[in-house]
Amino acid sequence: MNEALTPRLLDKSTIDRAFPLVRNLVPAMTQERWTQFARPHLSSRSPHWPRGLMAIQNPKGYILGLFVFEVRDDLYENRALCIDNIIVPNLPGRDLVWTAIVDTAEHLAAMNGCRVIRAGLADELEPADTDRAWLSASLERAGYSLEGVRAVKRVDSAGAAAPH
Amino acid sequence: MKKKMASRFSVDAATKTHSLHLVHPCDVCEVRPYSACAALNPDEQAHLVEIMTTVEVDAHQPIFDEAERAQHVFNVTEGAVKIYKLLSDGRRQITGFLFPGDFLGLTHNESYAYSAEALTHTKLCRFPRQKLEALLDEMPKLEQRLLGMASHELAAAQDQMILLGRKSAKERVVSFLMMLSNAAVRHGRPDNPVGLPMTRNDMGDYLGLSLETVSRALTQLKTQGLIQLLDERRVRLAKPEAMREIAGGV
Repeated sequence: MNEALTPRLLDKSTIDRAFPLVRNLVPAMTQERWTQFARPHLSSRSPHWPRGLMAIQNPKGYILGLFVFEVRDDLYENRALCIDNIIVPNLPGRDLVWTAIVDTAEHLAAMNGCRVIRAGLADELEPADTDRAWLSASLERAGYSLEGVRAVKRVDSAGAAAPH
Repeated sequence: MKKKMASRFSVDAATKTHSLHLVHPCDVCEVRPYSACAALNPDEQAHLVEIMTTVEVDAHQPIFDEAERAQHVFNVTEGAVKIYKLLSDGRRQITGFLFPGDFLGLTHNESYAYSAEALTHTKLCRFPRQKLEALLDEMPKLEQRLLGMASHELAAAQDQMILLGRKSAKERVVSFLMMLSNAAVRHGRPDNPVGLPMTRNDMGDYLGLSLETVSRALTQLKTQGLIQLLDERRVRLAKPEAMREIAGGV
């Protein structure tokens, strides 16, 4: 991994610091909404099934990348590390941030006895089409292969209770 | 919409560009050692110069507006800039202040995520974004340096998150002064006295405090002998160590 970039597990006191990065991706995002989204990811269901928000930071402590992870039970592989909501801002040097994310995910997988890493791109923090293409190509270069299909249908939720 | 067009017009009216120089500005640029350009060898510098234009913007004039197509990236070489977002309720939230050596306009999307306005008469190097991105592919040193510095807009916004987190009004104002002092050192300027190119209103906007609270906090710091208000735009830190303690590690 690039020594200048280090992973940092976010907690209640540090999730705010990731907000500018998230807002950089989604300009309409409010801090309240980000906190509401992030909090459930902070606590693991049990020590054996960790989950969290992992940030990639530079030596000055500025957060340049982010992803959500969770170790899940996998029918075939026993334990799988699932990562999604990957944020790599379209800034100069984003390949370095990307490499740090890939290395961190592999380290997390090894630490938690996972034989497979599943990375999702169709997530809540939806990247722009160009970024999705870049992420997809970068995943392939990092040894990931496409597997399965995830479909989304938008439904009219008028009248339904708001989840938040 | 009318207002937006008017402000765009004023950018053109207030911006003076110079693309021809007998002495190239990079040769006499005082912030070069402290900006991303420092990492470049003369050949790489020459490539960067080919796509660069220098721009001057008068005080209180916009440099770019939020949601405007992000065509240029800027490096501040003189003056000071505030960056801000318009909230959905129409209020304005200042998310950072940028100084000589800082880059701005390195946005994630096709359009600028923030508005940028000159606080004082400001000089900037302006680079067409697409050409700069193409050049960065050939110049990994510059790319790495830019990443090391982060996008300054992003870094400034992250600094703000620390300032706003669980601090009293006095602690916020002290933290802000210490942050400006630290930024001055990073950019090769003296750490004391601290320059305040922004209005008290801008300070309050950035710190989430009212104008009255900012003024009260500054008066309190002055009464306690922690600062001396030299004039409207300059503050001397009389007891920097005590202030660092109040700021809580900034």
